[in-house]
Amino acid sequence: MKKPEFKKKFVERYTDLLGEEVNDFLEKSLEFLPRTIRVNTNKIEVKELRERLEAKGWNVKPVKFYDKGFIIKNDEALGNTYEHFLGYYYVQEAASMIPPIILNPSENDSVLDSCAAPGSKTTQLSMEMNNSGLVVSNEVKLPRLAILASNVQRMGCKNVIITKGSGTGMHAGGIKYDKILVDAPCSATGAIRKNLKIITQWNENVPLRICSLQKKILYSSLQALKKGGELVYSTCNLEPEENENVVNHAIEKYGVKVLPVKLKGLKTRPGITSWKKEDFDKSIKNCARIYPQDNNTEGFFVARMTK
Amino acid sequence: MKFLNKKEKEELKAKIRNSWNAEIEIEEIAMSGEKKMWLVSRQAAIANTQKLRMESIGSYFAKYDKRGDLRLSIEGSIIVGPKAKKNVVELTDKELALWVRGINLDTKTGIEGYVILKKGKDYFGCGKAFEKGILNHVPKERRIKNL
Repeated sequence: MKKPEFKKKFVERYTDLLGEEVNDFLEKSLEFLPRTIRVNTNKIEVKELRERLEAKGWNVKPVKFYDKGFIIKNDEALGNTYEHFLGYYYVQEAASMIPPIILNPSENDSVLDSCAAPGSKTTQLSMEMNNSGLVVSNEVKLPRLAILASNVQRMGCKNVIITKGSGTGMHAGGIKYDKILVDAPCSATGAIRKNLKIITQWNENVPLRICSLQKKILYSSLQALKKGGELVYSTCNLEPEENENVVNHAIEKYGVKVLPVKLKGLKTRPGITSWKKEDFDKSIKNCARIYPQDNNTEGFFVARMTK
Repeated sequence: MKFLNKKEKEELKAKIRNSWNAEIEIEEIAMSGEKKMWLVSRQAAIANTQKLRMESIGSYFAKYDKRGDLRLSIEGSIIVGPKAKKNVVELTDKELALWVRGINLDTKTGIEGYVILKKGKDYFGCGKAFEKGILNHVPKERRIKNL
């Protein structure tokens, strides 16, 4: 199958971001993603699942930065196994496991996942909290709510309340949270490796259009955050308009403090402090850009902040 | 949606004991008007949900059917199954492959009522056993289409 060509303006944009390295980025973006799963410790121990999968003949290697993530090499469809049916694992891309790790909720925390469907991060938060505390998992679109509910059930999450509503209305929910995850709707250019159509659908105007919604969602979530609480903002793309620009807006308008993002085994690059003649706050450097070629994952952006 | 009080929890535990001879501990459990029950963490149970547009809470555990018998969800069977001492059916490979696809089984158990289905250490839900076989209640979205 002939692979689609990157648009000229896309290449120019990423050349501005990466310089000579742009070809590494483009080549990697056309490669298949490694198949990864996350063990669901609400139902099974990591060691037990690994032994079980290896006994079936699967090649199982741990994800470098997360002991509950596995890279799988086998011929079976990962969603068609008894283990998947039983909720022993969730098929989840490795980079998408990062935001809940960075948020690092404790057992008794109240946590909000403001844009939750299909539920990989909600269910990961649930298990990181040992199925205790509270996770409010919000989604705006009805069909996606059904998928979210199905995944939450399959993962056996008793600490999750699913709500329906716009991510821009979280402050009206009457609860103040210790921790919040805003995995914002975005242009998804980091997910090219999962869906090559994104290359042909990409439009340089989309990041500017969508960042307005992202800012509103972030603002609403910040209002729902307790003083001293932590919020992780993430997207599956590397567009500065949707990432550094949104975080910078939160710094300037709401006085949030951006904290470092560090994870052992994960190569990250700092957030950029200027883009297209606009300068951002210096603390934006604390954000993490995760390029596909750096860890063999999707592209992701993660920012951690407090108020 | 309401939360079961102490008496209702004891009734539920008695039902489980009666059906499967299993003793389990129940913390917080919510019940809907349709007699469906969800296991809920303590903090989720006491959360102020008045202003939330709540769609669901916790993990679906079981349901009282029209006759008042208890049918466990797959997650309910995973909790009760390991402690159950009766009305548990061990499936063959062939039967399990049919079960996860949502197909009724021809398996003659000699039991009338809900049975927990298992294979080895794994528990795959609850079916209604009758003279001719076992009725399947695996939800559509959970079924494995291509094994």
